Amino acid sequence: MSGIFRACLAELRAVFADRAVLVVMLGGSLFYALFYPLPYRAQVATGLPVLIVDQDFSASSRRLARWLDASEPIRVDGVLASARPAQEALRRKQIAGYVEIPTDFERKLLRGEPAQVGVFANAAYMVLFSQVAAASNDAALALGALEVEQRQLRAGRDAGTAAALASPIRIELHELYNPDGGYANYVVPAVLVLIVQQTFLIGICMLQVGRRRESAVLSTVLGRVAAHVLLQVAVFTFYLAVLYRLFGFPSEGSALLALVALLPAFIAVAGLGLALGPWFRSRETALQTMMLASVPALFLAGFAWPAEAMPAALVAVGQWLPSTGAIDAFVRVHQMGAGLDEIAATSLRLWLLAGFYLLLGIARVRRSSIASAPL
Amino acid sequence: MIAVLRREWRRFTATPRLWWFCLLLPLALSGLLLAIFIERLPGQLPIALVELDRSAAGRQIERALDAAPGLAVRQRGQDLRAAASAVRRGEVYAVLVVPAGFERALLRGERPGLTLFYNRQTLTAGNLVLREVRTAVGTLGAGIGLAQGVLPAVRVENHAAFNPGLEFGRFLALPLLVALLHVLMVIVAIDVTGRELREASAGDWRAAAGGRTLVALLGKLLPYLAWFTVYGLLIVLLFARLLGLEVQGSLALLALGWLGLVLACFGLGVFLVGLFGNLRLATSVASVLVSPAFAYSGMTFPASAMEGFAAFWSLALPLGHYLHLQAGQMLLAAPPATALAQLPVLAIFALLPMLTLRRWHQLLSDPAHWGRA
Repeated sequence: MSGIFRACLAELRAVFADRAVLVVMLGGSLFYALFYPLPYRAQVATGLPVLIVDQDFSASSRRLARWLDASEPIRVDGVLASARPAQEALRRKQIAGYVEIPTDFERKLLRGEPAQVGVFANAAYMVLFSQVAAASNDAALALGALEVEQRQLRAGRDAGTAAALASPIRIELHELYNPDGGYANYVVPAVLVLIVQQTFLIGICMLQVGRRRESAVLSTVLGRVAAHVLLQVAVFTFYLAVLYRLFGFPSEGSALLALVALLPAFIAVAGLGLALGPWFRSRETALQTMMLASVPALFLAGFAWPAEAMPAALVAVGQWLPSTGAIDAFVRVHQMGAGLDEIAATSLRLWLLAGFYLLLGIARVRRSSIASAPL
Repeated sequence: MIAVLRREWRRFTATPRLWWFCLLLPLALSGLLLAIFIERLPGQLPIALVELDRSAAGRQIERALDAAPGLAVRQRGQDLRAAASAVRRGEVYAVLVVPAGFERALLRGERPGLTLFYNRQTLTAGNLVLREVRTAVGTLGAGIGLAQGVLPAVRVENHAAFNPGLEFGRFLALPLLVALLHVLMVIVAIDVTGRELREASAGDWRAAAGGRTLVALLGKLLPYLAWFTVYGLLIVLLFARLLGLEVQGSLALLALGWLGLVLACFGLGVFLVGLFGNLRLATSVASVLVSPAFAYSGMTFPASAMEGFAAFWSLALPLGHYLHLQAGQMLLAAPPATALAQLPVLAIFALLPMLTLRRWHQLLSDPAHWGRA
């Protein structure tokens, strides 16, 4: 036990004595965590520019234009008489979309026939499309419902029946965990988990490159793992205590429980780092490799892109990365307030992974030499 | 120049790492991204239904949800608490509650409300579920109105411009691949130049160039520039084709833009090595600059909604400029003139190393700079 403790202290000293490792592990994990959320600080894109193509030129079409302009996600930049310049502006990406009101809009409304409205939104960009489509549909359909209600009132029905005929079923929406669907709230928690994994894998590999010819005993390896787990806990505690307040990210669960859920992932990262270290001939190669691995790791986690949309084989491959389970466990415990019993399956996988990489790390550290490093 | 080229070829063939960077990784990374995003439609997203009103109307709702192409009703029951737990367990993305007395209220014309709890922590999936449920319930409501002879006053026809199938995965995969290749190119630029300083072979490199710094740099980089221009563009085009995307605008402009990105990436890399004179430091700084570049590019979250420093930074990196040119020419069929806004910016990055030429001269001639970790 004291051997593990001594090795742990020695490893911590080694980290703090090595400027290059310190810069990546602690400097990198803090810097990236401050730098990544910045583009998403606004959380929701509002005031997206749209045009209105009004071919009807009637009181009703102008009313619809006003309703659209009042909608927060979009901003009406102008009203045109023909679609051609609007299409051109859409191609130039000067606008996010346009709403086309055809010539017979008012006539159909007065006759009681369904009046058509066309919404054209730039679907090459997911956020632009969903914001513009949702906002214009809401505005146009609300106007339509009001029109139906007024017709029923004119036809002599009482107010309640008129409203019921306009929209027979209401739907009440309750957003869970992420107010207003903020983009930063969605991306950042997952990315934080990934940042710690990547910076620590680089740092641990860098440390291993320098110490090839030693023959470490078991307690030394365990001590090193303990040191890197402690450092990861420290970095993550900083995220939860400082970064979350700084950016105002919401959370439903407890920070302490989140750290408990992440513990096996921290062990797995430490073990994986020790196992991968002997692969690299030079420290820079570790850095280069992890730079390239970050994006695939984020998407394999099935978070930024739903796992339901990925081939099953690939989802299985992703399970071998500590970040996959760690993101799932952290997001559910800390962001969604899940209890440890509700993440039991993920926890089990993470502990198995921790055990596997720990054994792999032990095996690799005990027999490695510089000559065998392939990269 | 020929001597530098010959020397570089020998170095290249003797370095497995460079084989990985130049040949295998571009293929492997594009294969991986292709596999992640190849399925055209996101599968059926699971939701839970809590039926507190066991009636014909309740079953109608259930059928409407089942009929929605993007949804699968995975759990049914009367226990809201169990359904909430299912969300936290990650088993379902949303819970739709049919309240007690729903059918009676519907028949009496009291506009009963369904309640949808949906997970916005997983934003993409949550939004998809929301859209599907609203469509399903809206259709059902319109059907009820129609049965009583009420026509809707306004009908909205939605046109998903440039992406009629709403296959967002394909539109994310292509810029992601470019972002990865751009990281790779900066890494290669820094590696092949910075490694000479690290391994103290810079004197030999300079000698092969006859002592001329510019010849040394150009001779070393030309093969990689040519290779990534051709190989990279082929991979990008092949990748787009496999995703089912075709160039809607000008292929020539797209190719010119790609050349601009290649030059900008190598320019940035060589500039950083010149600035810091150290392989590790240049790689670390490059990582800070290029790894988050995709987040700042405006491909996911619109650049117009970024604030303060982020708004500036999204313009200060080369990646976003190329990606907008690519989106314009590949997808939007944007007029050629729009590319003129992006090409000059890429050229500025390509010319960055000129600022460090004098410094490069020192690095190559003074052994004091060599061999540093």
